[in-house]
Amino acid sequence: MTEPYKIRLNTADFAVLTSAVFTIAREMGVNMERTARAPIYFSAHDFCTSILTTDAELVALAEYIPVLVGATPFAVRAVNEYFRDDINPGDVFLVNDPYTMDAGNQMADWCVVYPVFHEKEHILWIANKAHQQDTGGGVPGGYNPNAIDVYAEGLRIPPLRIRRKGRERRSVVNLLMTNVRIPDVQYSDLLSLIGAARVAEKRLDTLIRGYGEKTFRLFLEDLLAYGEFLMREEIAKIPDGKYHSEIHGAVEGSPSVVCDLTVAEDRLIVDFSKSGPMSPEFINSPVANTHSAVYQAILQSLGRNLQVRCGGCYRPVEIRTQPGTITHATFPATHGNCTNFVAKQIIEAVWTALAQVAPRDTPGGWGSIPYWVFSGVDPRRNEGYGSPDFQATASGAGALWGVDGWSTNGPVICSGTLYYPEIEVCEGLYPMFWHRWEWAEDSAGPGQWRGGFGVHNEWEAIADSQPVYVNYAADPYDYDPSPAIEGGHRPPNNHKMLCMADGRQVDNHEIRSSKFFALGKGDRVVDFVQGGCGVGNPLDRDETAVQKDVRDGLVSIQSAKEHYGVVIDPETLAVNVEETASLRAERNRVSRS
Amino acid sequence: MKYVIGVDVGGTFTDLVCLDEQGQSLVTKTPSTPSDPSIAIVNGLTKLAGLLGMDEKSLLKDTTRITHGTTVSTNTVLTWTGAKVGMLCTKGFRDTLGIRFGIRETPYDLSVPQPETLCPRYLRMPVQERIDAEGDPVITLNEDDVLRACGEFREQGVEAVAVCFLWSFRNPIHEARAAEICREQLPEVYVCASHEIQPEIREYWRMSTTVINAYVGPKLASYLKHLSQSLEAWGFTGQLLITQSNAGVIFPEVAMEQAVRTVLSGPACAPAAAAYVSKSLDLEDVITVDMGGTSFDVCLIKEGKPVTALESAVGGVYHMKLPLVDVRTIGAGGGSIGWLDQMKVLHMGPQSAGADPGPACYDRGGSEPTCTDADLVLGYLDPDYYLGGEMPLRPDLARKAIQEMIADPLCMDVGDAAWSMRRVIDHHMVDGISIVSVQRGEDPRRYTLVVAGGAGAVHAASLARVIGIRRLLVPKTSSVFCALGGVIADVRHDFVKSITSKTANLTLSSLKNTFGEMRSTADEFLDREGVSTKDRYYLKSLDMRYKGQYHELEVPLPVPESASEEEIEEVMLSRLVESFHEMHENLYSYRDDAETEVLNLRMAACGVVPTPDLHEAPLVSRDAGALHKGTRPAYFEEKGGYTDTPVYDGDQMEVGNVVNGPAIVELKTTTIVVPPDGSLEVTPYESFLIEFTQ
Repeated sequence: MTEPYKIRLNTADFAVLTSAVFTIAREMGVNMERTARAPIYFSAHDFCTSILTTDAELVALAEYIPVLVGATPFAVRAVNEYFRDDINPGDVFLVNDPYTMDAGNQMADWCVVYPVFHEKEHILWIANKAHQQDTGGGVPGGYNPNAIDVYAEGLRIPPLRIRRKGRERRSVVNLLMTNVRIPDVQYSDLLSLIGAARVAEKRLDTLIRGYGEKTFRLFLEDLLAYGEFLMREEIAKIPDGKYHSEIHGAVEGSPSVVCDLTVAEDRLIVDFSKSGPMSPEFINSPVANTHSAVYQAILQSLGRNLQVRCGGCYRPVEIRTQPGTITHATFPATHGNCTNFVAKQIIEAVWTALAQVAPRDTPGGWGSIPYWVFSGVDPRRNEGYGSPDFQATASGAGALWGVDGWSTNGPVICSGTLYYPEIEVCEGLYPMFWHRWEWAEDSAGPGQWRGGFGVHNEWEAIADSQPVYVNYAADPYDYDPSPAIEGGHRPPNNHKMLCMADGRQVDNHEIRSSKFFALGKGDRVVDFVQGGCGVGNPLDRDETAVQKDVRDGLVSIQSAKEHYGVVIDPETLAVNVEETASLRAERNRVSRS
Repeated sequence: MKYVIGVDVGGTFTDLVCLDEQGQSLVTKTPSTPSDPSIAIVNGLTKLAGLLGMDEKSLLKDTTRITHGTTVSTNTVLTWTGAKVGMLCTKGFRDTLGIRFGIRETPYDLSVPQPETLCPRYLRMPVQERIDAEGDPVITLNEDDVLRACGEFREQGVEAVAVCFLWSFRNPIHEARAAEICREQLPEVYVCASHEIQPEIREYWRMSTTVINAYVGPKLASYLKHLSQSLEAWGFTGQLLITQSNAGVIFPEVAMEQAVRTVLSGPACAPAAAAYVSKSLDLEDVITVDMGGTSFDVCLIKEGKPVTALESAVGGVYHMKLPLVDVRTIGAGGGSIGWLDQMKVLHMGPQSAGADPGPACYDRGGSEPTCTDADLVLGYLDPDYYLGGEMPLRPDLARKAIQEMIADPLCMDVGDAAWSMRRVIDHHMVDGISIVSVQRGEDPRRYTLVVAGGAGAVHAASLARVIGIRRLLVPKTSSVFCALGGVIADVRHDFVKSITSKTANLTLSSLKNTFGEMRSTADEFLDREGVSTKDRYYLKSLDMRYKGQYHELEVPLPVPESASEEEIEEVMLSRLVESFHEMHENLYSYRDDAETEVLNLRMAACGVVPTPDLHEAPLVSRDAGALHKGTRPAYFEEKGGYTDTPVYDGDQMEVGNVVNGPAIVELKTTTIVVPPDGSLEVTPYESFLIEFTQ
């Protein structure tokens, strides 16, 4: 273990500056959320705000969608390298392409990169990234399951200057907006990203002036070293060793996500080199996405009690990948859905390996999301719309030793930062009528601490004249939710079905192969969205907790008996204590032998 | 002489303030009696009568109005002691309440359990029915489902029912009928429907607000009935009024039906009192801060009006959507604990030693160094005159705690360690002030800081310095601000109508009609309360956004408060859009060319309650020399550390007295630290005004 770093600032200055930079990052987040116009941005909170050093290390970030926490340094590094000596106050840069200098994690996530100067010296970067409603390409909405290459997925933006010294480069912005489908919304959202950065610039300027540049630069070094030390301490607590995990899909030919985790004193090596080959599906993960997913996995397990989350926390984590695998996509592989899949599998592969050595600090796997993206024209207003079906992303969270998983908290890449828009909001915006959106009985993985519950989601297209177009965006390989720790169980599988107005039914299998549908009036979508994985043996679950779930209609009497060994009287819903005791004893005997 | 009395029942103390017709105020405090809060109220009234040299019956006979702020509803939620609530919901949507739109407050810490709902799932009963987005009933209400649910509620001993159907704000027919059936079937049960409580789009918010209403309603209703009877028995024939979260008051009968409106009323009244007190000094733009043992409340008052918000979460978890005074609470108080992490970085809080065991210097077994310990070590507090001497403090224990936990590990002197603690906690409070000012596009340096709470005036000057605020006001009544805020509050009812329309499509006539309808409803309430027509005024506003945004800004309709709907003109509509652009630019640094849309129309219908102007006392003397109690070393960074500082008896100070810093002015309820470059003066309204001289 390395010697503890000594903070050089006086203790009060350090505490005040740390709190101040995070407050600024959070204020950027609040401003972006409140001003954005695209639903995925304000509702899914599919964005992040960050302040970085000139070397592209994260100083402070706001806690929005966790899977983006580690992606902005890639964008900043690319801009830094590309523009080098030509970076001026008032410049604004934009980037999204994953295959130019590894800049982007996913093309729909546009990143505004904004330099902050103090007395003519470049001192910080601000990088704000947000998922766009559309990014050009073959289909509306940025999710093109039938794309054959990255060009079909959207407009590739290498590091690009969109404002020079405060003046917008109109022709450049015009080129961008000419290549997206809902330019007015997108332009507003670009203003929102830049606006947040400008507010933060003002705040940072006041802060740096108050403390002086020299103190502030020392602070940056102190803060990163502080984050590094805190993370090293957490890693040092777990035993050294090598741990291996593989996430497999149920569909034949699925590429596996393979993680080799090495704990070496206070360092981690996370090696995904042995993952399967790139896939023709649009789930290949560019390296920025893989890194970001790994950081999320570690911050939610070993790092969950850290005082600060900054780039210093990433220093003791080395990530290895092999170009050409599903966890290190190379040009021109399709990748549009990678922040969902395989980001989820990358996160859960890290957890599955970690669960072997730190089972009490590692969350169980989350439910996967059988969602798609819908778009069309609403004849009530004659206006275009497009959005993921957020109601179908309401999967359950995995349990953590000692705590049940949260219901309707998915997907894992958001971990409860996604706001599901209300039914009244959806029905107002889209020509659809919801029949059902509520927790689904027996949808959670049983365990001593059970997973959270998923939902039944059912809606119907209601417009006469205009179809609702849907693009399938669910996991194409049925990867297992993982890990189910210390005897916990996995949840039942997701299910998606179309019940057409003419009586025809389209099942899961057919939906997965066709991927794209136009729904007419009366066609109905019927989803079962799974819950999360349980942790610990369900036979050890507190009987009254089981009884409460049965009373609430969330666990069936049959499942109480079958999975938990708890016998419930169907009339009174009381626990039959004697039968339960003997059933549990019997089950425990069987499982031991 | 006629009197008006304000009563605020807090967790520890019940505060009373009495104003006579000349604006003379009298205050008193008495320990709260949580099992029956009305006992403390009567005790307080007896005390007040004693101060006036009369008996309590004559005082009550001459009292025209008692306004009452209560934490009954807030505490009911926070302590989980509300009614057993049953709920009727649209079939297929049983869990909207539990889903809480999917949010998890701590995305990285998965060890926090999911919050329990105020109505458990087995009591959330699905009812077949459906209204669609246009307000058309597309599935008829199945009354058998409602009857079956009522049977179940009866069997389960449900005490309150919330009826919450989709789109009920657009067409309440199903909700109204279902509620009617419940009221027939369950005559003893408290029943409310979401369209009655908050008829606004977004079902989760409407439902959660309604369920909170049902959860706190029965308890508040029985408490208010009991209180009215007690007051009546003592000869009170005036009007009892109840304070709300919007800092207005309502009649007890309305409070019983709309109990949720009282849930955050406690902190809401203090800013109103601050506005009232500042007005007498011609200060319209102030920031109020209230620092107590565990928390720091901050609120911005612009042009004499506390800023309002439209939503909040009780206990950080239970969401409600109602207009309320936007008081932000930061977890920083006298009890905040200082600690070092493994890298010896200093943190203050969020853990608090509270009142028990309290700071180390309380000598009640607390061994961790707190903010109060630091203040004591820094010489700001007098160990023998804390709470006027009622509570002796132990400086040796404070020093020991700071020495062992902070100073020694950091190889620092105890005084410097205490000063570091102080800077860190002050920063948290400065952050709170920035949130309500800078982050709203307001420059706090233009504002005056109005200071309340026992610990407030110990810290206020250092906060002001960091922010650049040049003037502070410490009113003598600040220790009973909530009670005072109630007594001066107008009657207020908030109404909302969701419309969702492009601003361009709004017609003048539809606007007039809708506001007209809201006004008729409002007038029914005001009629019921006997507010005369000439005392009524109406605040109209629109929730606006750029098309497609999810969040709105509340934009006041630029029309005089007394104007009728007929006086709304075309030009106001165009000015409205410009106001929205300006607000947006001020808040978020840019304006957009995008179309704007209107989501809700809002009306606050108010009735003026006569309030005397504050009594102006004549100037007595500039010289405070006679009140000089002594000298003690206190820490001032500008002076390079500890410096001998004169101490004054603040309770005896008279109008016009001036004290130059550095100085400490001690009152029974608080201690005012006057910094070296500050000067304090007693105003004709019995407040202390501190101004920086440099």
